[in-house]
Amino acid sequence: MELVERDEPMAALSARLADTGPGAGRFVLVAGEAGIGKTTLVRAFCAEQAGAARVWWGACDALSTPRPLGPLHDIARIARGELAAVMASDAPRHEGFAACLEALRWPLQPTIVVLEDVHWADEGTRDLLIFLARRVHEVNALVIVTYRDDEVDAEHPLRQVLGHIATVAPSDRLVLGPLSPAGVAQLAQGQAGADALHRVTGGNPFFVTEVLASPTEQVPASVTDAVLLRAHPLSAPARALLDLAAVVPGEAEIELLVAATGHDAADLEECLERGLLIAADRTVRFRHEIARLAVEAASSVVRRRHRHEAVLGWLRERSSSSLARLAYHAAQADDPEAILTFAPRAAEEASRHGAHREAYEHYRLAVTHAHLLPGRERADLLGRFVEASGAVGRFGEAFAANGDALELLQELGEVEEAALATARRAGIAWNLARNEDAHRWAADALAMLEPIPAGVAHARVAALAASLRMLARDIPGAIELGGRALALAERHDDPEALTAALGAIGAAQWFAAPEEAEATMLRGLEAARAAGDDRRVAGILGNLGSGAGEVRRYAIADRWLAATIDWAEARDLDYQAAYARAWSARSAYEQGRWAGAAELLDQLEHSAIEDRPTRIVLLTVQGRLATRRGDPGDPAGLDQAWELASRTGDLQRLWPVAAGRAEAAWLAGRPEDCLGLVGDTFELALRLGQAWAIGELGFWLWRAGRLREPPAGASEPFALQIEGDWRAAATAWEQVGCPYEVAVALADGDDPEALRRAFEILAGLGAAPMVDRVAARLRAMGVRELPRRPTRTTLANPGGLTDRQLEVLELLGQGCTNPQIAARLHISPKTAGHHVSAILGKLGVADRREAAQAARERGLIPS
Amino acid sequence: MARYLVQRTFADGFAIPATRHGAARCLEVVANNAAQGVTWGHSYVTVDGSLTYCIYDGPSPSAVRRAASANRLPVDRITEVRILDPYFHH
Repeated sequence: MELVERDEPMAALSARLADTGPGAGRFVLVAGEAGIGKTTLVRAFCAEQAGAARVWWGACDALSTPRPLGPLHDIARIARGELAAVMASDAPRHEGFAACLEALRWPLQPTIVVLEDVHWADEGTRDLLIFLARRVHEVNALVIVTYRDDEVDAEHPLRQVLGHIATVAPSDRLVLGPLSPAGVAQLAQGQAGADALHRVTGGNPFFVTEVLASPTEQVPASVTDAVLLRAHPLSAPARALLDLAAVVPGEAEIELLVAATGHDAADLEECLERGLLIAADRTVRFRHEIARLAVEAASSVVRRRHRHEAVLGWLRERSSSSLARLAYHAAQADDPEAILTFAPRAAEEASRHGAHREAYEHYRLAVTHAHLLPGRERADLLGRFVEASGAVGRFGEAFAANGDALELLQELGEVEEAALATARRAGIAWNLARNEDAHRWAADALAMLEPIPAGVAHARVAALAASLRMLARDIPGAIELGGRALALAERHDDPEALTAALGAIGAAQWFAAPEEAEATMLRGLEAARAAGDDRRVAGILGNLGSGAGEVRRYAIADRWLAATIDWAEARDLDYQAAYARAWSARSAYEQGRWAGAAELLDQLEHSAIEDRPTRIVLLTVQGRLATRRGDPGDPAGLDQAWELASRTGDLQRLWPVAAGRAEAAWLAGRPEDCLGLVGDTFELALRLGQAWAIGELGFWLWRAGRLREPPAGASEPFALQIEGDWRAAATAWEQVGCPYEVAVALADGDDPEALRRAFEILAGLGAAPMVDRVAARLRAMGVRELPRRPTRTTLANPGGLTDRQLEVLELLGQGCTNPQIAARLHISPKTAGHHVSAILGKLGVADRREAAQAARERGLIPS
Repeated sequence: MARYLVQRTFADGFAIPATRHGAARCLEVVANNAAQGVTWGHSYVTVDGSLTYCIYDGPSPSAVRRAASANRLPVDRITEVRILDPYFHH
């Protein structure tokens, strides 16, 4: 087993060994619960000291009748000589003890005597401990005793022995605690779900490694065996109480256990003694969640259901019972009436608290029984499920439920509700990249409302239609429709329509009047916050970020994208967090922070997000990064992105992929392919008047010899480059903040100095194909000596830190907190925390301040 | 699984000492590679230690890059390659 977060006890053991010498022996008691890693620690320590000390190892076994003096027999086999002879004979045991002591008078090297798991020791071994404690100061030995402190209660025979050792021998006690979340993450080596793993296992390294070793099962067989072995000796009443407690996640009221089983609370004592449960004031809970799961799974389905019924009955009688608990036991008891009563209310409560994933789960449970409800209520429940599943990015499910709801509403003749459901359908279709359907349904929804007097529904539908136009970059259309929606929303005082309209208009302004965009969107943000609409807040934050990013205002973009991730992740708004992460990757990539972009992309690739826009951004950035790095095989990602983007028909999705494919063709020496790859998208960009799209696509047409002049409306840096003013273009790109583009512009020149600068930038980025091109041009100009490639990652890096850790270290040196580091690097504060603790570990320092100081001393960061 | 030629530049020269630390460093590289499903075959190192050409088997270029990042090794270029030897046609 890998040793994690045990540097301190290891150091303590080494220090104690150093104190040990002839006539200066001592004891170390290593305590901790089962599986906490006592044996692992002591083994690692002995292995480390193999050259400095001899090791005698004796273990006690969990036998119902332990071997008399089992550990001393183990030791005799290792020690051989006189001790082995005495132990093999029928000599009285004090002769064995004396022989052991004699053998420990080792002249030079100390002996490490390990007595393992002494909570299981027989009487003879306990006497041996007392014997050694009295005389350890005479010999050259470090006696390490391990035991489970949770099993040694006041009555346990070992208690007295431990007290004795503490009073008569020089001794220390090491208590091994559970691993921190960061420690569990380290064991999990980057596998997803380390936080959940920490929660389930309580940081117990045995459970952690067992779960990691069998990823397919919720509870590995080895864990079940270990847990059931502990539960085995319980009396029938104690076992019944334990089994009932096992169906109650978290804290179980003692009153509940007693009421549901008919047994006495005193019988719980056994479970506490066995270390299975721990007690609080009036509740008990399992010491480890994974043990609860193991005990729960050991019963038949039928028995479990009965237990859940009993718990549900008890909870229903109490007005203080939480809705989430009621819904959980209703579901486990498979009681449809109770599910329909409690699950929707639990969902509502969850989404009020921003727990959107939980809300989704509750609604999903409820809708499986929706057919039992009358039409109007059913449509209402379906509608709420649509919102909840949309919030967590389950668009397939949302779409299906929306279809059912719409059908019901039409049957019921609810025109306004049906129009709103149709608009919702349009929104979901957009997330599923069915943009044609989306635009058609938005138009349908508007048409459905025409015959009736304008009201709240009109405002909401118009706002949705406006945002679809904005997304298609039909900017004048979005601003016009958005304005209508805004007026209606204000007239009818509807916060939902108000935030949606402001969000759509503000996002559109990035492309028409960028200076106004932020202010409009901040107004929308205020309104969404005031209305408590988490999703809309995330949506507006995200559009502030991605809109600014699309017009290459990176500082603004990065700030808002980080804010989006923080907001959305804290509220389980998974797809909005994922979209903002994908966009952060694009922003990092465009700003030449390629390692950071790749890390974000890797994280995203492992998340199951159905949202098509996120997928398209992800594939596009991945493909473009691989193209610029010259990585083989990966351009297939761009083709896939192109296929998905084509289905949306949206310029914002099409243009970056088209440009990426043209760049790949050009770098591969096929400029003639560019026209076919970007032609149609270029036309679309011209029609919609989108400057950065016109510029970039026009640039590739110019590279392919299809354009001579900059197209009207092209953004400045591209226009300058097409005009042939590469110096001005490079300066313009520098101001925008895109180093690769700076280098590409410089590489268009015929000045060796500019080319050398381009080479350095490109080599620093790791842009192999362009490096080769520039190197070839320099050679053609007769330049012999190419500039040295700047490399940041070398074997010489003394701290052994990764690129990312160096980035974190640099921010740490500037005094940034974890949330600030997270915001700057577009990672979660938790990930930032992991990096920081890894850095502290690698530098061998205790805190951030020391880390910064050590890093400066070693020249890892500027001082 | 594809085979890749990975080119790396070491501005300050490259050295793995023939000591316990050097051996530990190689094992660390192997372990980090394994976490990404990447296998390091062998490397050709220029005499001055400034350039290496390393043969890797791996699932994708990005896996090779992730392994390189974990190992603090630079990557200039990754090329997918196949083996050809003089006796191929015999």
